[in-house]
Amino acid sequence: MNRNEGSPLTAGAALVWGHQRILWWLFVINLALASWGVHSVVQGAGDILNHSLAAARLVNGFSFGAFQELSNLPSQPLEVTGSRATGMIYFLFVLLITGGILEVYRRDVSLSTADFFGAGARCFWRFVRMCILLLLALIPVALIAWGLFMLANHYYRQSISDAPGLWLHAANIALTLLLMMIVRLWFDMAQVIAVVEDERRARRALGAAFRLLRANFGSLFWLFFRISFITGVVFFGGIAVWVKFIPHSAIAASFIISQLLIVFSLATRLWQRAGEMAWYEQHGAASVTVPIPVDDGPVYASPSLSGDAPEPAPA
Amino acid sequence: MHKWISSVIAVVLLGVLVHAALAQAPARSPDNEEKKPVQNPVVTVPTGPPPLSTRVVAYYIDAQLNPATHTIEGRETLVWKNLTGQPQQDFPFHMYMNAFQPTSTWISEARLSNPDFEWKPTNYGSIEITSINAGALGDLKPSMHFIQPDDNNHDDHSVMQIHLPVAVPPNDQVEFHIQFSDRLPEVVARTGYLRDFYMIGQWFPKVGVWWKGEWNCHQFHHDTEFFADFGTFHVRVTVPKDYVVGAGGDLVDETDNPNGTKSLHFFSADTHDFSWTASPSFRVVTDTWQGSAGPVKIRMLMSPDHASSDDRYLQALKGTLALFDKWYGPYPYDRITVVDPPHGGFQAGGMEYPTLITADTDRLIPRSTLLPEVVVDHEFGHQYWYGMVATNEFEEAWLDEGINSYTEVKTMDAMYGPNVSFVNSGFGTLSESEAQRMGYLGRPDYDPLTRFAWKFIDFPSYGAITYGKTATTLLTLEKLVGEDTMRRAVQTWFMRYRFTHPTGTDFLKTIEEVSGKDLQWYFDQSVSGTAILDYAVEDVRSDPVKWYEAKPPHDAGTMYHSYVVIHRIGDFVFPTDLEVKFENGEVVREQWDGHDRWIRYTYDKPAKILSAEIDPEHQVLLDRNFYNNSYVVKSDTRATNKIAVIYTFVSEVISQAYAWLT
Repeated sequence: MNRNEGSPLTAGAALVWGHQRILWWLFVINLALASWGVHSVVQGAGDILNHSLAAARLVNGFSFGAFQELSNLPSQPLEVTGSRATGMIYFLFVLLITGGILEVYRRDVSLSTADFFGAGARCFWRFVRMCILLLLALIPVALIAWGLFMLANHYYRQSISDAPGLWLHAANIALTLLLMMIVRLWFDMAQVIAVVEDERRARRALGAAFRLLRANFGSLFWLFFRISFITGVVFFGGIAVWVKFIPHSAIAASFIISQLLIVFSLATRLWQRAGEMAWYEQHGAASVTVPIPVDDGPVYASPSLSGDAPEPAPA
Repeated sequence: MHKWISSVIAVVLLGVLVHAALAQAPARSPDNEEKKPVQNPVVTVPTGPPPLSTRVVAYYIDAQLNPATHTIEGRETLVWKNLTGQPQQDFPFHMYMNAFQPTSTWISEARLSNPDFEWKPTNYGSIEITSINAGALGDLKPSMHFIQPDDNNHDDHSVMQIHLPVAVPPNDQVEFHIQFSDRLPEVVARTGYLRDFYMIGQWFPKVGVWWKGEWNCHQFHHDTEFFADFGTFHVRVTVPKDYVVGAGGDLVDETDNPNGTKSLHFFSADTHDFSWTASPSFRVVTDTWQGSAGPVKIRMLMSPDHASSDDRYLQALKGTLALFDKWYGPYPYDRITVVDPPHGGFQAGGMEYPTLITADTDRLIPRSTLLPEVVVDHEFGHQYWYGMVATNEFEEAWLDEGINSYTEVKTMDAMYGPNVSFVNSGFGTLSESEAQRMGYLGRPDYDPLTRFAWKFIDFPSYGAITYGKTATTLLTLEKLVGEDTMRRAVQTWFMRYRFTHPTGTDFLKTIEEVSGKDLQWYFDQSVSGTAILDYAVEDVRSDPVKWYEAKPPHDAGTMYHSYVVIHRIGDFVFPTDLEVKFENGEVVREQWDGHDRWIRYTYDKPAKILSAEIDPEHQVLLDRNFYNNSYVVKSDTRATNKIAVIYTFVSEVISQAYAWLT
């Protein structure tokens, strides 16, 4: 399906499906880094478990007592210290390739590795700045969440029934998720604009994205929300299936379902990115007035803005 | 007629008499400033069934709750019988409510264990004696002074002492008349108020115990509970008319007062404390359980929103009642009240008073987590271990909390299954014994069981040792004497020492007597000592006897020289069983006294060793590390792979959460 055909939701799905290599590479990197991060812990556990009959308490069921004992053995405490580092590496890696991913979805072609990373590198610093601005933008969200949390606690403490406090806590969680989605959507669209319009200045891209979001909030948020909702339902539903239907001793099956959930969550995040790009290509470009910057490098300007500017030939 | 029924009738008749006498006192109302001490209406107990306990004290208390100020105005008459065998002139009293003040020992110890201990002005509590006299002996207020027998903290006012002008001769008695005012804290340490809920415990001046030839009246410490003499309690509480009241006594009568309040008169005998609770929001659930000593009225005072816990509490309580009745002895009281604190009131939860316990729940606790059941089971167990076998909780906390944790394991395992008696979810399981053992292993070697409760290095150590280690020690003891013998020993301990103040020595001697074994070596290490028990299979090997001859590796005729080395890593010496399995299906059992630091077993057999395992029945729960108790020659990576799957998945999810910010 062409990205300019159909709804952005289906066009986005088609883009993710059509460029699966991105998904699988992301998955492989995510898995490899996670495995590397927990390697020392797993190795330490292996030294304790592989020749011990007591390990059966973790195979034929999962004894929290056995796990607690394993985690707190004074001679070999199982502390996960590598995961934080590998998580940061993954964060930087995704930051680096996001520009390339958006470029692929914009052009709907397979880029060479060099072009892919070149596009990512070109956007890297502007996305770093956007990431910092995103953290700043999340501060008010955090303050609102904290304020509502305190309010909910107050109601919880003061009310004879716990219901008002609990409902307020639930509403706070829902509102916080909603605000986070809106902020994320805003920055997603800024990244789309930064790539499509080659807008180097993060604040200008954010300004344009803000205006775009304000003018088209319904359709954009509906696009983002639907995919987020599907992600949540499938992810937590999948965990429920894992816990309820996969026997404790079926370790290979556990691995498969856990990784399916990971692949799915990666795919849905890419789906959001691709859907946003498709939406922009279909609706947004004409409404954004961003001057075309002068750049020595290749310009992948939107046809809607650059008129007859030819697209570079696919690598 | 059942013996217990006649006892109940006698108690009710006594209560009616007391009430009639109390009714003669002027009616008290908030605006009635006249405060006269309650006259002791009944000094001699009428004839009836013999008391179950040696009744040293008789309290007559008239208390009025003022919800607007969270205060109690009380008048107390205490009749104290001198059964000490010597004249007594000085009397210490517990003034527990004064512990909730910034300069108290209780607070300083709380901050020692946790420097971030949260103190709010609303947590302030106090008890003030406005007058005290002993009838003809005159006003005692001038002689009243605070003492600090434990730590010399002169700012601690949790123990008060008075001096009589003349001593009370042996076998005589003295009547104290006390007027006091309580200022209740916002609920802390299982007492106080929360919104419209009141849990009133440790609220009246309570005389110390003459024990081991001296007064035993410790200050209120952060990690300690209580100790008091048995007797009778005649308590009348006055509360607003819409309040539902529960108490550790039989309700004798209830009267409405013209000023919008009501008074409820309770009577309790052969108990050593009296607590009560009040709230207009309580929902009352009642039931009856038939025990070997007669029917027991169950009354549950449920907080709003906790309806889903009704059945959970009730089933746990009735199951625990039945098992205690069957295993350890009859429950002699005709009542048990379960108080369900409201949300946010966990500080009031999980507490025991005679015939009244507080539970703990939350509407978000899933059915797979048996916390409400565990709390009810545990607190009911205290009716036996504290309520009736009234050990000194200040000095030997392991005798009530520890033995109770052990019986909690036994009863919860029996009711809910041995491997799932704490958590039974799809994610995983946790048994009661595992929970106790994990508690012990959290801080295993700083303090012995026998340490005074406030002298532990900190609160985590107190909890780990007093609850977890005691339970684990007694569970391990089952390996030495057998489960049935342990049950008989605990039953003997109850039947012999109920309504008395026994000691740890009494308990240990009871076990030795019932089992017919000298167990001092075990108690020296587990009860009095801090040694760690840890045996490990150090090495397992099988070599062909004729290793120098080239033969196929699995030739059936090949003889192997095999050996197993066991290493005693810890200092705790304990007899150890070893089970060795060979490839040809042969199983060999060994027993080692465990005294040396290591031992090597050697075998010449036509098969290699498959595995070697210490304690194959998994009875030595004191063992610090279960994983080194066995060695399987052939590596099995399934558990490791499972850990890898879970850790990797979590790590991937965390990485994706980071990446969401890009």
